[in-house]
Amino acid sequence: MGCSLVFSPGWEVDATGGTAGLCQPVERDLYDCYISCFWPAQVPDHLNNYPDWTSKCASATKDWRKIDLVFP
Amino acid sequence: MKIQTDRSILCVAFLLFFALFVAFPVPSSSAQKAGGMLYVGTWPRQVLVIDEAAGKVVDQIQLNTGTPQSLTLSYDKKKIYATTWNNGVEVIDLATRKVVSHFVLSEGERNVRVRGFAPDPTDQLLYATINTAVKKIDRFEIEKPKFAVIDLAQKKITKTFDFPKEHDTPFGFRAGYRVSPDGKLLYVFREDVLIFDLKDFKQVDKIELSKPQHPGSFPIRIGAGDDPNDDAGVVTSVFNTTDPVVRRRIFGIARLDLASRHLDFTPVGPAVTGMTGLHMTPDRKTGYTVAYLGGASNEPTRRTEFWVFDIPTRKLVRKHEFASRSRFFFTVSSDGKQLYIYGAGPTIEVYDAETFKLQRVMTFEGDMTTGMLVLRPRQ
Repeated sequence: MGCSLVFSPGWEVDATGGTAGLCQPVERDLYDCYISCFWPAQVPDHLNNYPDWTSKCASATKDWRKIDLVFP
Repeated sequence: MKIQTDRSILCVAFLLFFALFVAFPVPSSSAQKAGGMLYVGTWPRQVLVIDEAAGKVVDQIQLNTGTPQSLTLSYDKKKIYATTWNNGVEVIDLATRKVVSHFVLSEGERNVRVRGFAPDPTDQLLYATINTAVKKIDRFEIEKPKFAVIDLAQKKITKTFDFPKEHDTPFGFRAGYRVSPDGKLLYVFREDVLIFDLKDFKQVDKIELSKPQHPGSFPIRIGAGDDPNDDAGVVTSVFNTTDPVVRRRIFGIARLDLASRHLDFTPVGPAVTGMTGLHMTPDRKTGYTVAYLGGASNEPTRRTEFWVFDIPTRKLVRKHEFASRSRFFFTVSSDGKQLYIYGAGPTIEVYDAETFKLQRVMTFEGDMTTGMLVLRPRQ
């Protein structure tokens, strides 16, 4: 999640291997991942298959429990 | 006795004058006007209208075509053009705060994505660059990027033009765009400033910023500002350049006149990791930006500083380090007295522009998805 390009250990690190590029809390990065980074491995594909997966969640830091579960 | 009476009257008159006009000053006409308004797109598909002084949402403009992607002020500053992530364009009337027109550029299996645009001076057309992806049964075919003329009355693309061959890359221009005040030229801000004739989108000129503009510098990169306090027909921005002798990167302030094509620039100091756009106070005497220091792989700890420029002398006059969120947008309040840090979440942090102290945090219902337009009250 977030602006990570590193999969080991996961989205907890940013592109430089540190954490300075990650948002705090991490949910702040969720929607930019969704709409601008196009990171289909980590968030659902909103363009074709799951356009409404966040329709009940306006703020990821506050409402993340309302995000739909997606089972590909 | 008469003299004493006159003195008494004078004293009473003086006290009345003091009470009415000094101790309790009458607000000036400008102070009586409504304050500035903030417009920002938020999740899932609305534009918030925020009273700048109260810090409260006074209206929510629901969009029809999707999550807002960008907000652009019209040339006459009476409307906002909103683009959405579903390839939609919506026109918001600022007087009524209503969407007065909306449409989607995609048709059938053709997904047309706008990469950037600028309104023409009549606000009837948008000059854009587009990427089109055509959905096939087993794949998407990506067409070459093109210039497009979007007719707001017809709600569609009416003309397209090929890119110059040297810029015919898969994703086209990711750049800033401006139209000249006479509506004849399109300025594309990249490493150089490319100038196109809007009749046929042929390149007619290029301000070669990659060549030295003054002894000992190249290349320069300038972005088209979105500062509502900038002069109409002028782009004022920070830029980077490299010393060709010792390869030291430096930055400066540039001012481009879109009517005369005259570029005036001044080097200021050593370049840093990055800077946000330059935002000026309404009197255009002071400019603010946020500078990033560090953050590269060899220096993972990133720091952020407010930088203050004296615009007439083009000098960096103050710096102040502050603890910022990881990703953010930056802008200045309508009166130039506050600095806003926002984005990547539902909050706006408000700093005093003089003391740089955090004054308050405004929290809203939805995460922000666009840059924020700060609009001054109408004169």
